[in-house]
Amino acid sequence: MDYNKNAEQINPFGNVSTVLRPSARLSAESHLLGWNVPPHELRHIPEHWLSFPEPPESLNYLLGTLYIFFTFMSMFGNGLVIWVFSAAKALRTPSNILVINLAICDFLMMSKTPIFIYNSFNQGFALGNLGCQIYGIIGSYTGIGASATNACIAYDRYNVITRPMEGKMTHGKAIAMIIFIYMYATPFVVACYTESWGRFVPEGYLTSCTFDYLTDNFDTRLFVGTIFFFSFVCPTMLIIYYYSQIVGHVFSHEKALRDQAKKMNVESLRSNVDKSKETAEIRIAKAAITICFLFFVSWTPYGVMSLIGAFGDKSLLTPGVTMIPACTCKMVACIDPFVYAISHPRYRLELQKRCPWLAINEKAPEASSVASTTTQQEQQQTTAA
Amino acid sequence: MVVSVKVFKKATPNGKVTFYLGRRDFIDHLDYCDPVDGVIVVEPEYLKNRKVFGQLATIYRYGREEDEVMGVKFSKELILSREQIVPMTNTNMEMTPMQEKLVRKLGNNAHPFTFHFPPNSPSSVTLQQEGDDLGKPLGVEYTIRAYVADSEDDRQHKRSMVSLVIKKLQYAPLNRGQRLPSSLVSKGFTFSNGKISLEVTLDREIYYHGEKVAATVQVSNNSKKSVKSIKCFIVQHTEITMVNAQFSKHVAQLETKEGCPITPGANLTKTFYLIPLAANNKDRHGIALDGHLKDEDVNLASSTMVQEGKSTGDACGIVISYSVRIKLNCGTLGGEMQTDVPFKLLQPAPGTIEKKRSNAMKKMKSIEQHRNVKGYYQDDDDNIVFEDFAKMRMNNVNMDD
Repeated sequence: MDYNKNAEQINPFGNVSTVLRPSARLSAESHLLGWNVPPHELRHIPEHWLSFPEPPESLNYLLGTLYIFFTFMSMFGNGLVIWVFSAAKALRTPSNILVINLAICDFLMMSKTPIFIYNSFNQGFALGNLGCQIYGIIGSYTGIGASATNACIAYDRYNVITRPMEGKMTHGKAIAMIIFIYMYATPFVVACYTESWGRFVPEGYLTSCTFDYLTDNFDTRLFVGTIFFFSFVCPTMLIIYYYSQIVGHVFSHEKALRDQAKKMNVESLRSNVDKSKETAEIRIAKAAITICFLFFVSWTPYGVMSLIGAFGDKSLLTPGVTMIPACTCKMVACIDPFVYAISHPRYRLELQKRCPWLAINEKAPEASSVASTTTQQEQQQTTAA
Repeated sequence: MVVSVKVFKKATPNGKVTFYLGRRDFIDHLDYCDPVDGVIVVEPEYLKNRKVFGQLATIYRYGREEDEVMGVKFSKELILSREQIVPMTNTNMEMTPMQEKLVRKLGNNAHPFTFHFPPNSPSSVTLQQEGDDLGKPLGVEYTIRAYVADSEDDRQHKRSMVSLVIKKLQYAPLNRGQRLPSSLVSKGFTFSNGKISLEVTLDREIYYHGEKVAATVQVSNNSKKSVKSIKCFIVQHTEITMVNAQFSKHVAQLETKEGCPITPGANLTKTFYLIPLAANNKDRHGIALDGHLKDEDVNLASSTMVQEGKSTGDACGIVISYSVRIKLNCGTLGGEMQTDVPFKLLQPAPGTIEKKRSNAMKKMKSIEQHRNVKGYYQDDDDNIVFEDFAKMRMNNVNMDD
């Protein structure tokens, strides 16, 4: 194996003496990254990281704490989404299955953070290669899964909005999409886990793990290019395409409606005039831009970083810098429930019913109609009696 | 038999303002349209110094409410006309006989009102949804509403607002026309000489709901292929102008092999009978029906008629058309050939013999229904029957929330 050969060539101690910087050598207490890794685990760590000095303990504690915060936020938000969407009958529509799947991905993404948190509080590669592999597997499935689900949600919304009469999602179609999403992620995970193509390696402060984008060979570069294309470029293109189509269609619908109103000599479309200051077009455009932007912010740092690692100037990738992309995608897992579910009026309604302590003040248009039909029935009964 | 006039009545949730309407179906005669004429009764001590405003609105709903995402609304409401009803601003308004009757009967607190449909306003159409769907109906709907407020733009309170769904329909012209629609097509084949020609002729241009459509099919086969079977459909074409969407649905169909195969050199003349009926298309998604109100017998949507000199492209809302489609199956290699013959499916206009016949049928039914329902308020002088809607369809108020 290529990697093993590489690892054998590096004598960790020899390495230290050649790369050690003056400042590090002056202080007796400062170590290089990975000094506390047992020798037999060293071969799992790309040599790139071993040349950097160890980060201050406080930085590791800070990241650990941040991850604890992310974990609670995401598990709370996404857990709520999963619970309410699967418990409330009104919300069990085929389209919402995709929203639930996104919440599941985001929820499970956090199931790997205990490894990171433990590592951070133990200053490095504390759980060893096994922890790293688990972290990598969960990370790839949930990361690729979440981005593919985002693309599927975009497709579904595009279908519904551009063809409101026919573009109807069915349960079968939604489930088929979800199966496809996980099958889509599987080749990358299997290839990395078996180390047949790419591998999972620690990155940054050696507390988190991801696919290898640093090893300097053709296989790795090809792998980075492939995963970059399939799990970043494809979903991003689809998302941007579908949302821009949605905005375009809403614009043309509004225009068609205004034309018809003009034909009938009607000047006001009340729904647009006094209910909200913004027109429908602007509202939708804002929502679409928010979603696209959020996706872009969450995954672009990772994409760019891996490309730099494989094809660019590796010296740009200091351990501290590489922790940023890892944080952005965790952060998005916390924001997703707000973007996809909290903006859903029916979800807010259900949530208000189930968790009154959240103090969500959602008007209930549905409730009034139900109430009025019942009074009507009562009246019929009384008149009949 | 006592001839009684049925009057529709609906009150606000607090019971202070009540609509009285002589009918809920308003007919578009193309050159003019029946105005919405009715009477409103308000308690003066409740009103104090406030006013009563009325609106005629149309609601387009072109997608299910539960599918709405990202804040997209699949429904739009257009206020077609608005007016101050109490105190009356339009002093030279002429009351219709129905309004006169109602004002006489209901006393001093009754105020007549009239709304006019603007030209080009679409007909009421409901798009059928699958059985278990409890959402608001898709299609074009009209509603009239009245509310109590200080000024026209005041926020309307649900308690003092009443709204009632009404229908705008089109009837067939008195003369059904003499033209027999027909279509002739022929099809050649890539690797063999000769053609199959297909001619389809209908026995009428305008059919009434429930009538049999007779399509005479003439096939003459001058090719080397043979016709294996004949399929015959009645297709309903629906165009939703607000989203520029259109789709077609088969509302009646049959397939036959009788007289088939039509071998090379053979001819066939055959008449197919199909009846397009809403009853045969229950629970099918997207079938267009004439705008319908609760628990009424309903028929398929009538063909959209436009004023002479205008094209259907100018029509608003939902545009409906029908055609008979004949498909010949010329075997696996020969492929299919098909042709469409358009026709119109309409309600008979009042006064025609057909209308009287179908009215008589309806009356029989409704008399039977009325026998079973007690509690209607019978009036001895004018024979007015009040049909109280209570708070039915209050939800329409929130269409655009």
